[in-house]
Amino acid sequence: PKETIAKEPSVRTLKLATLYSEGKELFKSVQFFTNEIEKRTQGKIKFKIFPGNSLVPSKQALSAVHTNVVDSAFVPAAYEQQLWPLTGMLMTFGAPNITYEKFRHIHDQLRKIINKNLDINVVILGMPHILNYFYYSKEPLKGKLMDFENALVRSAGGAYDASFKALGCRPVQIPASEVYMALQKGTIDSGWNIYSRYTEGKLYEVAPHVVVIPKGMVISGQHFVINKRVWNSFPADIQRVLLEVGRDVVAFTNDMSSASDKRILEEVLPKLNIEPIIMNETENELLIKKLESVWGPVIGKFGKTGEEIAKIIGVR
Amino acid sequence: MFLHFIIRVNRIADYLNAIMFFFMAVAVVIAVFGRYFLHIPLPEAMNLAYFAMLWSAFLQTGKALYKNSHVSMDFIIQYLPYKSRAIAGIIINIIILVTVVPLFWYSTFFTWESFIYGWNFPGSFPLPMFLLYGIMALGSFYLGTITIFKIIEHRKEIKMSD
Amino acid sequence: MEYSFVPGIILGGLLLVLLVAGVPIAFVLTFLGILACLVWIGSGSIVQIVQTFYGTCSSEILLCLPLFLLMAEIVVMAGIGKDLFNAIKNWTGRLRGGVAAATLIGCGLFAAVSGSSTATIAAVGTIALFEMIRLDYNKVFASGAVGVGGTLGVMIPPSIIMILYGALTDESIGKLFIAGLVPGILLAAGYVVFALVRCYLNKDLAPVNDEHLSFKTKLRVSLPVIPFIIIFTAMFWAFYTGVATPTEVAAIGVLSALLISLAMRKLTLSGLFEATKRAGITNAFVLFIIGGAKFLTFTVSATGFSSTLTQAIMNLGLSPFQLVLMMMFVYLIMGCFIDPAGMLTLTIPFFLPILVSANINLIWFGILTTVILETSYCTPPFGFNLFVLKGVAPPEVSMSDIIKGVLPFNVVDFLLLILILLFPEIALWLPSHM
Ligand code: NA
Ligand code: NA
Repeated sequence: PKETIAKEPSVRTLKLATLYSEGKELFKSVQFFTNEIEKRTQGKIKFKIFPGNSLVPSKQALSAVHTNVVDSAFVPAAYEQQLWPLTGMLMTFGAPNITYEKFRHIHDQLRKIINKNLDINVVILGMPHILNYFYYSKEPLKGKLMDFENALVRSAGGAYDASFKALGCRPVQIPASEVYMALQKGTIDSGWNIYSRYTEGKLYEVAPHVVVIPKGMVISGQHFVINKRVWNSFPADIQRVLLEVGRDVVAFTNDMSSASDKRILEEVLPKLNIEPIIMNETENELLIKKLESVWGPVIGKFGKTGEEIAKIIGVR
Repeated sequence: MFLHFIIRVNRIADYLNAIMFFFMAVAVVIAVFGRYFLHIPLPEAMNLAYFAMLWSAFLQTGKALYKNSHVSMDFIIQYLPYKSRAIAGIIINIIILVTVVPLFWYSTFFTWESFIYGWNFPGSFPLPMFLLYGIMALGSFYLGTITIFKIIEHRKEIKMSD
Repeated sequence: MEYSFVPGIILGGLLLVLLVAGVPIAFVLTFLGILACLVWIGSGSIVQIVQTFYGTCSSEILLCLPLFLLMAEIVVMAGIGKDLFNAIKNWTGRLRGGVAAATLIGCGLFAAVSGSSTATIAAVGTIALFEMIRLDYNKVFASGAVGVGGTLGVMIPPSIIMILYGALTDESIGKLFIAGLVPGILLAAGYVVFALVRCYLNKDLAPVNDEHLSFKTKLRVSLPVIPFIIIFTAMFWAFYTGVATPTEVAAIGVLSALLISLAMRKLTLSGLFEATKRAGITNAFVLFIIGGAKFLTFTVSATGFSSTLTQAIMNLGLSPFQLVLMMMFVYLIMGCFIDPAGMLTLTIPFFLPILVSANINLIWFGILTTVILETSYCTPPFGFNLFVLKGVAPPEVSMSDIIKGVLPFNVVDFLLLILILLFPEIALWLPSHM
């Protein structure tokens, strides 16, 4: 690309698309990642960040990496499940407490499956242990499974639909930008996200009743994705640095997220007069059991039995 | 011959377009009524409406060009003498062709890939993606056909004026 | 500096040349995008054209466009639009420009259920422009009134511009809507007063209805308006009771228009087919313009325009108030070349850190931005409402008629902008008291 102004011939500037922009928490992860790589490769790899969807919409970020419109992207897992079906799956089951080591192992297996089809190389598949928020507009919740019964919940479709149905919710498909209005007017009455969407999206203004679910769906997996040809063009030492930083950024993000989880629960929400109910362990186990019923059929679609893939992913 | 073919395709496109509009309206109405009155949301119906919208747009874009309905600022070109207007018409259609060729080429590429890898729409209604990219390839192919037809027509005009 | 303004300036110049040369707008935008890929970004990026058009033509939010278009075509085909405007003509009587004023108020009401300028202009424009010309209104003036009326769609909440701004800045969308209420009503009122004053000063713009009808007769000739009122009420009810989102309200509009026309035996099957044909063509060209605009925005972003712009503004060392003025000026210029949503995605992620560090109220800035972006729907050469209006207007209305028509109305927008700049309370008082 023309804009790579090379001071020395070996300097590469990679285009990185992300939906986060300065001021959003996860942008710090993006910055940590790019800064560390620049530092540890002695400036041989640099990044040109396109923040806040300013280059490609986040829903198109993966295919933009796939077609090498951008070299890399930092995206949540939820997008473009057609290109990356296993990510959709990862979000649907109750997240067990996976250690990073174990997760790395799962991830390596996943990467093999993904890369068989696509020129995408997943360097990081981050999975911070973030609390899930189920918020409701109409009346206080009890922190029990019955809270989900018949709730009109906004769903992104696909695996989400199945999970919500398993919980007894009624998933509704409306544009993300109309969620606030729909909660306000009563078109839908609930949603399920991590804290950032709830607080940054100001959804507490229209849905003040919250159940916090310690082990829910993994929604916030953050991925750094790089085009395979670009990846293959790097010498082994640079590839190693990228993987190392990838590991560190997951740790960085996890620390940051759990600190935020705590801060939101203990400081931010009380200031807003929001009193979240934390789901107890027994109830949470029941919830995970219900979500597991979604597992088999979804995984079955990918040509292997649910049990077999579950074994590969290492959660059973 | 060519004209006959175009008129026929346009007619087929019109019928399909009417069906797509029917789908759009009915799907959304069903989704709304199902959710509000029967308490059964039908996210699949909303997905269907998005597909119909894409189909309708690509079914009609060629015809829109044929009918000169793609809006342009025509306040200079309409004052040109007959022959210059025809020449301008050729240049304009070549520019259109330059934009249509990559659209056709790459949507064919995506149609092929989505077919080979079996991508499905990532929403509530898992329609095979090649049906969506496919209409884009087909629609842009027809768009290209119309530009070539127009270039031929303008050339005839130039010859006639000589 | 890593990037320069050169690509942006060259693209802007070429945009002007190609548009004026008569190349259809959708293809000018796409062509320039491809050109930018070939020259600055790398030919490999052209492939993004597919995802951009795919995303646009199957967009969740844009679904209301084809539906509102169909609703408007049904209303026209069934003669409901004609009945409505005849009644308005009779009621406004000897008030010169009364129908124009009523149309603008109608736009304002429609804007209360529609978040989009494009949908508002598509629906109201299809009906109103045709009828105003039938009633002997000056076609330039009539196009102007309808053209700016459409922009109320984003100024009066709900508004997709405010939603996009809120999402990009993490400001409360609800607060933005409330803050936009007073400015939106002021703008609508401003347009109405402006239209009436112009008609009063220039008798050629609008006819006067000299027929003197008794109140009873007026009521009697107003009966045919009932179908229209039912359609409108159905949409209002559906939105404000939470039955439907702004996107879905369009389908309620189609359904009620269809049921009423069929029940009154005013619409035949072939008439309905004709309506889908007309709506289909308009829908296709509008979606292609939006797709082309998004593709061009993508390439402008990839040339690093935003970082260059932000750097240039930072280097000026301005005071907070000057900074806001500067950004408004930038939006005004950019608005002549780029679509409003594209402008926001291009600039806000880069402007936001500057705004925060200058301690500028982001709700206030959001309303100012909405006003200036709302103006850009009507500023040539790239003005969305100009194109949509040309597409739905009767053939005798030319593009230059439309441009000449809307530009004077922009005076009202600038007055409002100055008012909000000088008195932020116009936007901020209501949200702070609710
Ligand atoms: Na509105
Ligand atoms: Na403009």
